[in-house]
Amino acid sequence: MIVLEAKKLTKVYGEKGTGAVHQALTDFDLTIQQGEFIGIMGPSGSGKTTLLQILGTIDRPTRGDILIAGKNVAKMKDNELADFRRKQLGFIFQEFHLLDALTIQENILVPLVLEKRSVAEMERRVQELANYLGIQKVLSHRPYEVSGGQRQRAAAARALIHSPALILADEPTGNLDSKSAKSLMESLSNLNKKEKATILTVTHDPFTASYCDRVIFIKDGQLFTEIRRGQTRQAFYRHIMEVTAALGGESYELTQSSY
Amino acid sequence: MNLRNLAIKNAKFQFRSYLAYFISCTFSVWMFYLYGSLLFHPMVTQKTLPNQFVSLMMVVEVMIGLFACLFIGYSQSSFLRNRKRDLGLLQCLGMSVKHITRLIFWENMLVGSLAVGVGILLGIVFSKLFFLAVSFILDLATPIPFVIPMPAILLTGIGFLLVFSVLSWWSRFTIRKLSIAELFRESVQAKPTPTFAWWKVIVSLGCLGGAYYIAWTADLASLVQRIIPIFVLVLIGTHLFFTQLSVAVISYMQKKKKLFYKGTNMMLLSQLRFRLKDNARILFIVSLLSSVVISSVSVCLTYYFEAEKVATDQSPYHLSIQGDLPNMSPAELKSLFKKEKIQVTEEVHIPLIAVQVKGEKRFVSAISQKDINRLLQKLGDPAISLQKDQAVFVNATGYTPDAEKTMAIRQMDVMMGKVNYSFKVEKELSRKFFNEHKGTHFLLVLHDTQFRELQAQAKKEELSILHNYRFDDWKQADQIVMDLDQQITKLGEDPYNVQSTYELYISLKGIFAPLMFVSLFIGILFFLAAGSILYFRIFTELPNDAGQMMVLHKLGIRQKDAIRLMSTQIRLLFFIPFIVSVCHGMAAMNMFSTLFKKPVWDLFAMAVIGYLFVFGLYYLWTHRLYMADVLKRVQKSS
Ligand SMILES: Nc1ncnc2c1ncn2[C@@H]1O[C@H](COP(=O)(O)OP(=O)(O)OP(=O)(O)O)[C@@H](O)[C@H]1O
Ligand SMILES: [Mg+2]
Repeated sequence: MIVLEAKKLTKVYGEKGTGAVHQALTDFDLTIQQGEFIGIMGPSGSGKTTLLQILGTIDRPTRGDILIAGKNVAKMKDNELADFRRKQLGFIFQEFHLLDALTIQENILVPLVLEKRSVAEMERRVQELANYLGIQKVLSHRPYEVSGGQRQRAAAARALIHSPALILADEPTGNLDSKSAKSLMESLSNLNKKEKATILTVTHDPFTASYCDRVIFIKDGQLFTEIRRGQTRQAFYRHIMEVTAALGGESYELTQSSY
Repeated sequence: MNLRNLAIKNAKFQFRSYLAYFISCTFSVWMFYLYGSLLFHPMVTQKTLPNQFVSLMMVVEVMIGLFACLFIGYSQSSFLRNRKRDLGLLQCLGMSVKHITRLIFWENMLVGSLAVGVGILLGIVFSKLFFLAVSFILDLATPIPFVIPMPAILLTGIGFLLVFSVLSWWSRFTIRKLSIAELFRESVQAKPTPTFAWWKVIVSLGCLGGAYYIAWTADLASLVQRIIPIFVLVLIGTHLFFTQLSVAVISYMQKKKKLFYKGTNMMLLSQLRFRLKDNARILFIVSLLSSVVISSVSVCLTYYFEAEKVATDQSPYHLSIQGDLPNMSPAELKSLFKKEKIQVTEEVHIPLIAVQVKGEKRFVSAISQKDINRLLQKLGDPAISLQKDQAVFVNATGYTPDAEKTMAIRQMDVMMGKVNYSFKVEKELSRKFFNEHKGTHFLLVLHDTQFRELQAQAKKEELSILHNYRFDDWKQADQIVMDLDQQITKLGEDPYNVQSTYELYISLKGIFAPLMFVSLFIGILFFLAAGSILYFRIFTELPNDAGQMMVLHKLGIRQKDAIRLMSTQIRLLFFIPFIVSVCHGMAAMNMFSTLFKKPVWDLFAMAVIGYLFVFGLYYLWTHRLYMADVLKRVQKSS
């Protein structure tokens, strides 16, 4: 089943006529099947975040259509979009973005609160996800009292708790050390299988990308190439490194991590 | 958990940083209720309070209301700006603008209704004391009775709740403008190092210098016209002072290697450079509020406590009468003094001639050389000696400092009867000789024979004798001088003909007692607002400071030093505006003291010390709460 279909997405930044315009995306097509785990890579400034924001209905494309869960979000009004995001999308940010006023558990619950679900369901889901992600012990702590890795796993739980059609992550491992990054990606990969969650993640890091089923490379706002995972993750990692080198423009630091 | 819960949790979490805002709101409500309860008091409808006082209260009530609106609006918008990340996140998670507005609305109403409730309650509790104070200030025989006027409660309650809800409704426009896209971009964008432009530094110094110069050279006559240019220059100068001059000073200190590399100075100066620039607007607002408070409180204080001195300076004779009293001869007056057991210690009777000087619109009186020398001798000043056709012009308004000017000879033509007299004026004197009568502001001193010639030419109504008396105790003569004043008004004569020290004294007190009273209250209000703006600003840095403290700890800097680093910054944020406002206040004080021989610095110092004390307490309180919170955070996350 197709979860997302984007056709000829174009994004132009800057006012028309006032001079400085920048075309961040050009005729970009993308189709995502349910249960896929997709990575997006590309040099800095290639338009990754722009793409994610448009897919996440945070920003509107200058041209093009996006169908998510069968609905054309490009034509929706702001209020409808808010409803749509609440029900169908989940977000993970590079900087976690948890609310300091709430405990970890409450932070995870926010999407269900907004949906006005029953308390019993909330409890059940939190326990379930906290178990998967290994953060049961910190549920009653405040965000600033736990480690970065735990914070990001809490953010992942928040993105997943309402079983959205699509989860969007922008550099989820960008602020984590390699050990935390590894455990986060393993958890996400698990949840992707167990919960049939569809995940799209933007990353700089070939190691993070190696957990995906499919990696899409983008350059100057256009599709460069796309590779799929074969047998082992190690092989996929090397493949990603090769494409990255071919992409050029920017030299990636080798991620030493667990190899 | 639901939306309202979320709002309550948030308000609770932010409680510390909202605390000062809450206190200031409560205080505004409290003050508004107190003045409201006076305005709606049955005594006002019965017209037992003086009219001017009631109008003054009305003005104060409106001022408090307007100020509260501005303050609450400003605070709410800075809360919003501070929370734009959280609000953007909620939008991202699928909350609509409508919902977020509602969330903000709940939070504001929670804080607002609490402030309104507590404020009105405090108002009711303290209104008896307030009424007593007003009765004392107005010298009322029977104190204003305690009542709880319903209209005052309604006006305060409904008014403030309306303000809170309208302003939080207004926040939707700010929320719309928040960009959620920022969530995806690096939030710690490398801020460029604050810089300054030399020309702006020079403009700043120029504006401040100019304003001080204009204020320093002002006299009573030019005072009113000078206020607006001074105000504008101070605004521009102070603003640039914080945005430019502060950076310039710090960058100068950073260049002094010896200073820069000493201890934690390097870190302190580098951080201050950012902090002062970031907070320039707030420091500016706080400085202005404090300047207004210090200036107005000290000026009112001075005029209230020095009313006696102003009265004796400006009315050197305890009683003076120009011309004859219609119902009493000077002899009868003296027997009246005797009857009332008032000792006359000095009396002078001086003939004056009202003269018309060509090209001079002001009233001028001619006085003989003999008489003026008599007066000068009493003041211990050198006598004047004139030739025929010479004259000395005297500015006796008392608005200008005492002075003696020798001028290029100026011709003055006086038309008396049909004869034209020409005098060469070669000296101008500034000296207060008489009380304020119609013809005593400007005098023309003439040679004795010429004075007599003029006297012979003058019409009867141009001639008058000024009777001046001094008593052993002028305050005891209150009854008699006020009676004389009333009689003369009743008989349809010019009330200006009878002037006394006591009358001036009473009218000064009448003006400045309520003003002082009001300025103290408004002063506290402004001061609390200024403090709470600073307080909130400091608390918004909490996560950053806690983070920085951990980094410093890892770098091996002892906690004590790290705390000192932070304390210094907070202290500077509090006390730089204080110092600026003391300087501004000093200039204002000097300008408004032209009625005195010299400014009354001890009263000014008292006002400053009072302010310093309260501000210091505020600082200590903020500092303590803040440090406790920072340390708690640091301990929890390590
Ligand atoms: N709001 C904006 N206004 C104008 N230009 C923008 C805006 N946002 C992004 N851009 C530009 O669009 C281009 C793509 O930006 P984008 O953030 O999508 O890149 P990215 O691939 O996410 O880069 P990075 O890996 O550094 O995060 C960049 O050249 C950027 O400068
Ligand atoms: Mg990006």
